[in-house]
Amino acid sequence: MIKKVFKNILFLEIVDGLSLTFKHMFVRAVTEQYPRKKRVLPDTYRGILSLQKYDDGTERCVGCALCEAACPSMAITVVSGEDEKFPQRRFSREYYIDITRCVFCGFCVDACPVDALAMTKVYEFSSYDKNDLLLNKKSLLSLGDTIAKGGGMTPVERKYKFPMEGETNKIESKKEEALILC
Amino acid sequence: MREDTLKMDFAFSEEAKREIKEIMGHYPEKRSALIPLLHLAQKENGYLSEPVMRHVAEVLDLTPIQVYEVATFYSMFHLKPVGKYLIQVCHNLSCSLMGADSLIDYLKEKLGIDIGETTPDNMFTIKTVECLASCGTAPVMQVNDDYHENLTKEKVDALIERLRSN
Amino acid sequence: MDRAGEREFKSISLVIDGKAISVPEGTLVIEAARMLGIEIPYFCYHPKMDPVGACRMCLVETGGRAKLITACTTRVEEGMTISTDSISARKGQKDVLEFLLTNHPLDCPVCDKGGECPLQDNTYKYGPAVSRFTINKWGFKKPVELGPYILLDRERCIMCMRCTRFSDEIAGHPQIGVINSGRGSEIGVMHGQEFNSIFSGNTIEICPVGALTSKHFRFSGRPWEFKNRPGICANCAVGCNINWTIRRHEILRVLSRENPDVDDGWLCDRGRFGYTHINSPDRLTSPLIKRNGGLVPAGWDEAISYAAQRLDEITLKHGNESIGGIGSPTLTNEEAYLFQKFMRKVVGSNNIDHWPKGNGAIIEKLFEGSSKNDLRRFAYSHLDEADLIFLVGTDISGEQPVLDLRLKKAVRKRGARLIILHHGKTDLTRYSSPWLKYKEGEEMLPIELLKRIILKGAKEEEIEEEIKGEAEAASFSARLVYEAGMALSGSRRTVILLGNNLPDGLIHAMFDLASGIIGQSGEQRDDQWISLGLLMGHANSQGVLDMGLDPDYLPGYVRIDLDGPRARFETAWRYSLPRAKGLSADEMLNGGNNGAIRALFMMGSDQPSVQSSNNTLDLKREGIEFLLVSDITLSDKARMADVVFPSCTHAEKDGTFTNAGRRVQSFQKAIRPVGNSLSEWQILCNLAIEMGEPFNYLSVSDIMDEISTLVPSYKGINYPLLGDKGIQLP
Repeated sequence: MIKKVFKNILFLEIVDGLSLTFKHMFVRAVTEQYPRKKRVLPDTYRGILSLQKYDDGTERCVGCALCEAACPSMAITVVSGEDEKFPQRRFSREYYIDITRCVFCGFCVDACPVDALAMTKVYEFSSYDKNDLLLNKKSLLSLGDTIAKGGGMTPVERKYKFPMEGETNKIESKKEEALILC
Repeated sequence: MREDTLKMDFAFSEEAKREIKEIMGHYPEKRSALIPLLHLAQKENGYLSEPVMRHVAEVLDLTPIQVYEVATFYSMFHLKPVGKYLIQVCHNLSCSLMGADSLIDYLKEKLGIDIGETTPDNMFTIKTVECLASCGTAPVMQVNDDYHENLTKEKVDALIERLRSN
Repeated sequence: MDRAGEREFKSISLVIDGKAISVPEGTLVIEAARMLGIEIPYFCYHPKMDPVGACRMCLVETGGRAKLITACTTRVEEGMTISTDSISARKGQKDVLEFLLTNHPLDCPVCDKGGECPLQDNTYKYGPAVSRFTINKWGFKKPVELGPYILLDRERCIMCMRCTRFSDEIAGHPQIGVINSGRGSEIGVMHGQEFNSIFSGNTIEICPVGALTSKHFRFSGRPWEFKNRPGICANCAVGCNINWTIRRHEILRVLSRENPDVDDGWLCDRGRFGYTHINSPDRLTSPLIKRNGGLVPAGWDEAISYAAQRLDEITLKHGNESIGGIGSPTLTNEEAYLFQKFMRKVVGSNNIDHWPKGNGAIIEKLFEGSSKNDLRRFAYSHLDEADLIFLVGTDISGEQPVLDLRLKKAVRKRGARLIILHHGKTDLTRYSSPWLKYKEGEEMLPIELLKRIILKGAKEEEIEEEIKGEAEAASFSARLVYEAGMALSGSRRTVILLGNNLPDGLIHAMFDLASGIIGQSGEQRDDQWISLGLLMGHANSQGVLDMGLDPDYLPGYVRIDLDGPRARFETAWRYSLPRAKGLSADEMLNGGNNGAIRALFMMGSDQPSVQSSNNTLDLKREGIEFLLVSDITLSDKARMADVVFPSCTHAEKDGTFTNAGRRVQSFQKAIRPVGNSLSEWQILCNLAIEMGEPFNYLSVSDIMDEISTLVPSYKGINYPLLGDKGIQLP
């Protein structure tokens, strides 16, 4: 009883509580000062999706819609068609990702046979307008460009993003008319 | 070349027409006479051009593609003009084991043409064929109707020399 | 191939995978396995084509033989023991797949077949996971254009030869073939020629890999995004069963849906590629009303009430008879029925007809008056049994292409005899023995001659005399007519098919001839029959006639001017029907028949089949105060109209069609209606409400129920009963 009164008079609880606060003045902070400071993300970070191009600037996407099939949250829509620039070649005429539905699982990236889809390290894409979050082909390609432009990719990142590179089949075109009539 | 051949018309000679009648009499169906007729046409025209095949198709009530199928299937039918000497080199298993490949390369180099081509002087055409049924004397090649067996580079040299001088 | 044939076959017992089965002699091992529910993988085998054994996929082990056999070329033998899943059989299948994949590119992600590809499926099921052939696959630069609809990717081809066999054996148009030999083989056409057979599209569907692709469909989607919904083709009167391939309410392609009684699983290119009008950007999406000389979009309520008001006005001013209605033969049975009921009951006018019109009503009447059981009404299945097929003035290959395949099957596989009476050369005349060629417009002469030969027993010499006088008209010899006559009277099972635009006299003459042949008594004629049919021109030409879209007949060919039969309809409809004979479409179209017609209601779209018919619409506006049109696009007639209702194509509505073989087939809505378009029956219901005589139908099946009570031949037909194969009318 006396002990309790004594404690109340001296405000020992405050001392008790503040001692932890003062102790932490000398411990390394675990929080980060976002947005002033930004974290260095690992190369395998799964941020917003992007469409990639080959080094010579042609689109990688062939419009096979396997990403659409792989997507568990049905966020992707692909409309394929014939490429006007390269007749007889398939490409995606329209490509949409509803990023509000995306769960960032990365299945689409795994499914892509030509490494056209890659996850960027971009995570700041909040918007006042939901329509901005329905990404079309143009915005996805420009997101892809930011990866290439922003100092390029580290070799590890490149290997992670384009695992199929270097394995592509070289198809030798057969001499077409060799056996045919003159 | 294709445009020229398309313009050309082909018709069997009177003698051939008599022969056709006789050939067709051998078979219950017209279609069966296709190969003999193609041989005949090849003899008359030298090779099977498109107008020739179309004409044969017409004679036998077939579509041109049905004739074309047969003509492209057999190596005995020539779809391009061939030289005076048609050299057919076997490149099947026995001959290959006995060095047919290097022989073909040697021939190509010597005549300066690729397989299926004809020398500019219209003397030689090289073709590769499957088994000529003379495996015991491999490597073998057939020049027009004659077999040349147990070939070596020297034998080929001599042969080409002889043919050239003929 | 008609293996069952006429001969008696003994049955053979064999054991497949430990299960015993007895099958008729001549059955293939693969078919016997299928009967047991055992799957043997295959690529080149096709139940409708002769076996070839090109792909070697169906290897199975058989007891007592050292080597594996191909199940698709081996016929069953007594006491055979087959094992389809023994170690060596499985290894054989696996190795064949490895060989097939030596050069087949693994470009499944960009291949149109990927996802519905037998090669892909079989590789997953039976194939090796990796290939030992690590050398480069060959590739060709570009797909070859085989024909107007088909592209060939040569490196994908596995040489099963289904396409070449189809075009030769089934279509009878050998235009593609295998060029070169061995590894260099490829499918191709002759230089300067193309694969333009009207059945070319079927090869795309039977190709087991993505080698043959459709130019229209190429790259437009992946199979797992599609839904396949059943439908009926409306491009001609055959009524082939189809599957619409749909993605997000858009029709991307048309596939066949096998119905052995109608199409045998094939389609023609007109049906297969004739779907572009459905999702065309030209489709009307809202009603249009003419204001200040131009058609402006309006709401449904506004358009319906305006139309009803104008019709009422004209009725008050000029009487009921001044309003006419013309339907299209692409209307469904329900819509045709409702349209004539609307005109007769709500408007009170018998001026109701369909256009373009054939002369099918004559044959209906002739059959009604005949009591001979052996004179049958034509059904497609009769072609499969017939000994003799007699075509009169019809170009089936051009007008009803899929029926032409059935005919070719009868002639080429079963050896039925074909006689053609036609003025021009058609695709079938080469199978015809004989082909009686006449001068156009003189078709009566050969019929008269046949009548004399068959019914009066005229001799060849007499006919020769006859022809001499008419040398102008006949381009056939007396010998040929005599031969044809003898064949006709001697045949046991005959199918006679008449063209759509023949003169009335000829139809009567043919009917007399047919019943005359039946009437001739004889001992061997017990099981003799003749099947007679008139091939209609459009998707539902037969149905609209049955439904009474005709000025002279009520539904079921009830004469409008006979009080007795008409009373049935008056009771059912609770209305006293107009008695005056109505005007025909020709009369109404021709400038409103000098003022007799003041308002015209043209219902039904000019779908491709109607557009391509030779009769072009000759509509004149003079004298017509109010023109009401329902159509799918702003066609010529819609441009002239005062009010245009946007209507649905047959892919967007429910209904039934009655085909040229008098089979009623139902179809369901496959995609949602384009824009604000409505089915014609809904438009009519709305209009009837506005005009004060509401119908109470909630769906087309309500209308069908009413039809089945009023039209004798449709008695008892309802939607559940129609199913997906349809019902043959008696």
